[in-house]
Amino acid sequence: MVIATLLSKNHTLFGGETMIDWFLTYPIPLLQGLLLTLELTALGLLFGLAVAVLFASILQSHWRFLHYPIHAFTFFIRGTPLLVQIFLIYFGLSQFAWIREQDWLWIWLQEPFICAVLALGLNSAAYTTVLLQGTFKTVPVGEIEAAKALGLSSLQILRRIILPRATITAWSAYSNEVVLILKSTALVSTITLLDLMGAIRQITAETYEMGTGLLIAGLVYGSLTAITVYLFRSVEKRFPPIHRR
Amino acid sequence: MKLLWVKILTASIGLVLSTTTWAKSQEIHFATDATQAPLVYLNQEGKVNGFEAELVNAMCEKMPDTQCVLTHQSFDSLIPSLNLRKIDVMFGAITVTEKRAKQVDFTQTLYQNPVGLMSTSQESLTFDERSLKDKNLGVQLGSSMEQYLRQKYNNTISIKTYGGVQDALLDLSNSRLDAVFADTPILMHWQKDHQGYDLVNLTNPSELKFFGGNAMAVRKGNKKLLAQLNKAFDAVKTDGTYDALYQKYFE
Amino acid sequence: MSYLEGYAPQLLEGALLTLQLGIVSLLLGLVLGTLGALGELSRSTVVRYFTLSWHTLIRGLPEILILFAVFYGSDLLFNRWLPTPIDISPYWAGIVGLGILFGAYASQVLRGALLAIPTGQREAALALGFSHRQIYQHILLPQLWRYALPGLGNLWLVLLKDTALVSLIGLTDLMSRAQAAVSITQKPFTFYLTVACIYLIMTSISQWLLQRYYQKTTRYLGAKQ
Repeated sequence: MVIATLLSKNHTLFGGETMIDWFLTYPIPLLQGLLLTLELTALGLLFGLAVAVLFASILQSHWRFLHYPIHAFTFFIRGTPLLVQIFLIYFGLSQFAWIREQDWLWIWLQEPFICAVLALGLNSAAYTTVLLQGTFKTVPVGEIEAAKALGLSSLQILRRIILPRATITAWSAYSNEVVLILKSTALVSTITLLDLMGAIRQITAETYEMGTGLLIAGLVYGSLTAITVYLFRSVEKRFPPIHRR
Repeated sequence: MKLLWVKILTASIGLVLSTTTWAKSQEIHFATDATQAPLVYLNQEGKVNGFEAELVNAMCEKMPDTQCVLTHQSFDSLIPSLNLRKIDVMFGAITVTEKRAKQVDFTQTLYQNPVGLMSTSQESLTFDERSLKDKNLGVQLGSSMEQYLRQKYNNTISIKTYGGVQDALLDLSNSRLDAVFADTPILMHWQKDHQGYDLVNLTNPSELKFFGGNAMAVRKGNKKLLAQLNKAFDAVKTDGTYDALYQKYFE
Repeated sequence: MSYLEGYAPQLLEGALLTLQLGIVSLLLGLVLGTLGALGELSRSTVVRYFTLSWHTLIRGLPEILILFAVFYGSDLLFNRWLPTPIDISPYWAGIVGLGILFGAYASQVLRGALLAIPTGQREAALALGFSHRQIYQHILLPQLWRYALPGLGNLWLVLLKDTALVSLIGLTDLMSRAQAAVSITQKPFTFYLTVACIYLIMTSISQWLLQRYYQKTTRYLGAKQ
C-alpha cells in the first residue's frame, strides 16, 4: 500500500508529480536537508543535556547565589517561543557592533548553523534542567546519606548515585524532549539553513507543488519520530525491573 | 455538563464566524509584503505606504463603489493566500515571470525596474561567474531573483534565502553575506542610510528577459477583477497621476 | 517609548491578536480534544484505531508542518473540490491548525483524566442502572476538569507560544509585526527582545491564573475518597 501511494500519479489530488519524480529530480537537497536536520537535533540535544546536567547539579548544591540566574534562564526560555529565541540569537545579536568586532566570538555567531545549535541547545537545556531537577529530587535521600557516611565526595555522589537513578526515571520523559527538538529543527529554515523543511519549502517555492512536498515532509518526520520512540522504548525494556513501573 | 459543552461549541463557532466576512463584492483586499521601501512599506501607524501602495489607492479612486483594503503579509504566502481566496490581489514589486503566470493572472505591466547586486565597496561584485564564485548571496524566498540564481548559478554560489529583502540586507550589513540580489529601487533606498556599498545592475539583455516588468496579480480566472484593475490603471495613466507618483518616488 | 521608534502601538495590536487567536484555537482544541479522548476510549475498534492514528500523526509532525498543511492543503479543498467560494476569516487557517494541534495533545490529557476518575464511581453508577452515556454525561465529564487542568494548562502555554508560528503563514500576529518593524528600523534585538518580554508577560499571567484556579478546583479533591 505504501509503494502504491509512492508510485501513484496524484493527478487529481496534487496535480502531475509523483513522489518518485520529486526524489529523482531533487535527491541532493532533500538528503542534505535530512542530514542537516539530524545533525542539528543531535548537537542541540547534546549541548542541552550537558548544560542541563550542570545546571540541575548546581540547583541541588548549596551555592544559592547561582540558583537565581539559572531560574531566570529557565523562566525566560520556557516562557517565550523558540522562534523568537532563534531570531534573537541570529538577527538580534548581530545588531551590536561590539559583538561583531570580537573575532573569536563573531567567527562562531556569524554562522547560521552555530546560531541554530545554540538556540536549540539553550531551549533544550532549560526544559531538561527542570526535568532533571525533578528527577534528582526523587533519588531516595537514604542512599545519598549512606554515600556521605561512607565518605564519598559530592562529585562522586553525583556520578554514581544521582545520575544513574535520574537517567532511568527521566528516560521516557526525555524521549519527549528528543522528539520535540527534532520537530523544532523545522524552524531553522527561517535563518537561511536548508534543513529538510527548508529544502521542501525551497522546492515548493519553485515548483508550486505544495501537496507532494508536504506529504514527503510528513512521511520523513513521522518516521523519524516513530524510530526515536521505538529506540527509547527498547532501551527502557533493558532497565533493571525494580526501576520500571 | 452536556449543555456546557454545547455552549462552548456554539461560542467558538460564533467567535470564528465573527471574524468571518461573507464575500462582499464591494471590498477588494490587496496584500503585499510591505517591507520593500520605497515600493511598499509599513509606516508607524501600521498602514501600507509606498509607490505601489499610492498607485493602488489612486486606482481605487477610479473604481466606482469599491473599497480597497491594503494589508501586509510575508512574500511567500501571497500566492497561496490568493488561491485560498484570503486576498483578492497581490502587489508590491511582483515580477512577471513565465512560471508565475501559470499560477496567477497578471495585470498589464505597471512599471519596470532594474534588478541589481549590492555588495561592499571592497568586494564590488558583478554579474559574472568568476566574480561570484563561492560567494554568499542573499535573496528573498520565492522571488524571481532566487529563481534566476538557482537556474543560472546553482552550484557555484551559496544562495541564502530570507523571508524578506530587509533581513538579507541586515545580514549584508553584518558581513554574513557578500551580496544581496534584489530590485534596484529597494537597494538604492537602503543605500541612502548605509555607506560603503556598491550597486551593480543586471544589464545583459538576454538575461534580462527572465525578468518581466512589475504587475499586480489576481486569482487565475478572476477575469472581472482583472478587467477592473486594468481599466483603473489606464485611467490613472491618462490623467497624469501615475507620472506624478513616479516623479515623487523615483526622481 | 521612543526607543521602539513609534511601533509600540502596533506591537500591542499584534499582542491582542495573538491572544484572540490563542483563545479561539483553545476553544476549538478543547472540543476536538474531548471528542478525541472519547474516541480513543470508544468501544468500537474502528473508531479507536482511527482516532489513535490521527493523534499519533499530529503529535509526530512538526507544528510548522501542520500549519503549512492546513494553509496550503485547504487550497485544494476550496479550489479544486468545492464549487462555491466563501470568504472565511483570514485567521481560520491558523485557528484550525493550532486547534488541531491542541486537540491531539489535549485528547491524551483528557483521556488520562477520564481514566483517573476513581472507577468505584462508574461501578456504582452501573449498579444503579445508569446507561453508559448517562455515566459520561452526569458523572465523568463534570469531574474531568479537576484532573485535566494541570495538563491542559501546560498545553495552553505551549499553544500561546506556538501562535508565533502563524507569522510564517502570512498572518499578522505579534511576531509578524515585529518582523515588519525590524525590516524598517534594522534593529532586530530591540524588537525581538520586546516581543519576547510580551510573550513572557502573557505566559506568566496565564500560569498565575492557572495556579489560582487549580487551587480552587482541587479544594475538595481527595476528601472522603
